[in-house]
Amino acid sequence: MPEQDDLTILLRYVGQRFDGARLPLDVLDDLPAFRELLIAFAKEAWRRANPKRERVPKGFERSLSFSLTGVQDGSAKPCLAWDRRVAQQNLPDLVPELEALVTTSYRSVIGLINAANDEGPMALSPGQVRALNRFGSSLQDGERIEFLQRDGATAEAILDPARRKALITRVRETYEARYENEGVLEGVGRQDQVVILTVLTEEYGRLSFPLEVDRTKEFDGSIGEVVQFDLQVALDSADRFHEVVAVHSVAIVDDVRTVLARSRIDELARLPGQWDGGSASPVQAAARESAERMLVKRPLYASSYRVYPTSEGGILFEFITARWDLSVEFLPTGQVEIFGIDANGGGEEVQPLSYEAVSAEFLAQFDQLVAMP
Amino acid sequence: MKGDAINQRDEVLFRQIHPNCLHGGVPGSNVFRPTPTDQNKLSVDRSSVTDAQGAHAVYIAAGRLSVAVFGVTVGEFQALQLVCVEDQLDAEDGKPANLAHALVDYSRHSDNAQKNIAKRLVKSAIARGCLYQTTLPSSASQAFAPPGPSAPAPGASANN
Repeated sequence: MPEQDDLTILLRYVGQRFDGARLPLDVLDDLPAFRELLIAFAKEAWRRANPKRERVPKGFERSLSFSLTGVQDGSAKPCLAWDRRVAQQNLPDLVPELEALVTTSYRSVIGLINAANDEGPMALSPGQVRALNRFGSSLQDGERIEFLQRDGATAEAILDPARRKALITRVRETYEARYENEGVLEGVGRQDQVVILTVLTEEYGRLSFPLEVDRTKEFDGSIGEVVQFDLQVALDSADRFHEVVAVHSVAIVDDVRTVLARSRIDELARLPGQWDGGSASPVQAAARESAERMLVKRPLYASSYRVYPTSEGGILFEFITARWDLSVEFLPTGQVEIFGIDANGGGEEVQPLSYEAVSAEFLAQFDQLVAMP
Repeated sequence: MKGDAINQRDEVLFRQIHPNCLHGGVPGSNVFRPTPTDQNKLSVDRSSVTDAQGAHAVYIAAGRLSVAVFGVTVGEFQALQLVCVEDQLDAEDGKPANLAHALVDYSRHSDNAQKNIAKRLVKSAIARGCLYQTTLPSSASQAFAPPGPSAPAPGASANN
């Protein structure tokens, strides 16, 4: 176990991802963000102690360096130690004062977190809010960061996604969070010298964000394909999307879900006439093309589709959302119908709606139905 | 007698499921609506006369394919304004007699209305669970495209 002194900070990451002392690399971003938070508080504390000084001394931030000295057993417990040697090199005359600032700043962070759900105004500097927006942004539901006492077991403060959101939205309209998911590429546009991707997502609808110009070729011609992304987004206190703050990664991916559904359509397309032992027609090419177009246009739901042949020579997709038990029937002519019943046993229905094809109009209706809470 | 209404509300009426009409152990709703050649009548078998396995045996003896049997009660049909009537079948053209056979009359409803009615019926059938299941004989599996994943055990939920 790493040596602990008064200026060793012990965090504990709790959640399934962190079992076995594992810290996923995307969460490692938290550690520099935590340093930023301490620095932000240290600067405020310095300014209060030195009201005649407008700026902190040169080398101040560099002197507040921390090292990861180990990750303890159990849930991932990174140990962060203030690097006194770096402070000695940069601001040798201020080492005792810096030592006190580190302790004071840490206590301020603990106090801040414990006051997350208090009522009343809270004053945070822009630097403190910026740091708080980075620290803990990768936490998922059910996970938390515990700030441990010197015994290494007792938590004196706990930061989870809800508490973090409460803290930030007390002082700002929005807070930042990491959003990793998949969506459908809807557009590759250009705005001035910047390339803009538009991706349709399940949670937040259409999102637009910039892409490096040299990656344009990767996405050109891929409209309708599945895109995997890792974004920093700004949400309000009701978790409504405001904007994309940063793009960590984005890439086109092969979608296993559509592969399975496509394979099922291929099977059904090989059925002969009278496949039911009666008068069933084989699946018509126009129905197959419509069904496959549906997979391209709305791949996110492909893993939910149950796929059947109809005796008329069409294809039937059936799936259940939170609100509707839906059917999409691709007729032998290529026309498409959507209909459904209340998924929760109520009497409401979607009466069959017909469209000439898997058109923009049909897709708009489809999106409206699957998005209904 | 043939044509007499079936009114015992809790009697289950069996429906045979073709292997291609099962995906992930779940039947498609189109199994619970008549096809264009059915003249608005859906074929079923009465649980008061046979059981699910017996109904299946008679069905395949008539040269048809089925890998599962699901069921809907008379009361569930009646709740959707569907009339169930006896329709015993005599032996004919090498097919055995089927004294359990019955018909469900959809003629009161338009083709469009029948689609959501079928969805409600399959929902009831799935909630009841698969009542009998089997696998295709190897000779039959060569004639038809491979079936979807096998149906769940009888009595188990057939939901995805």
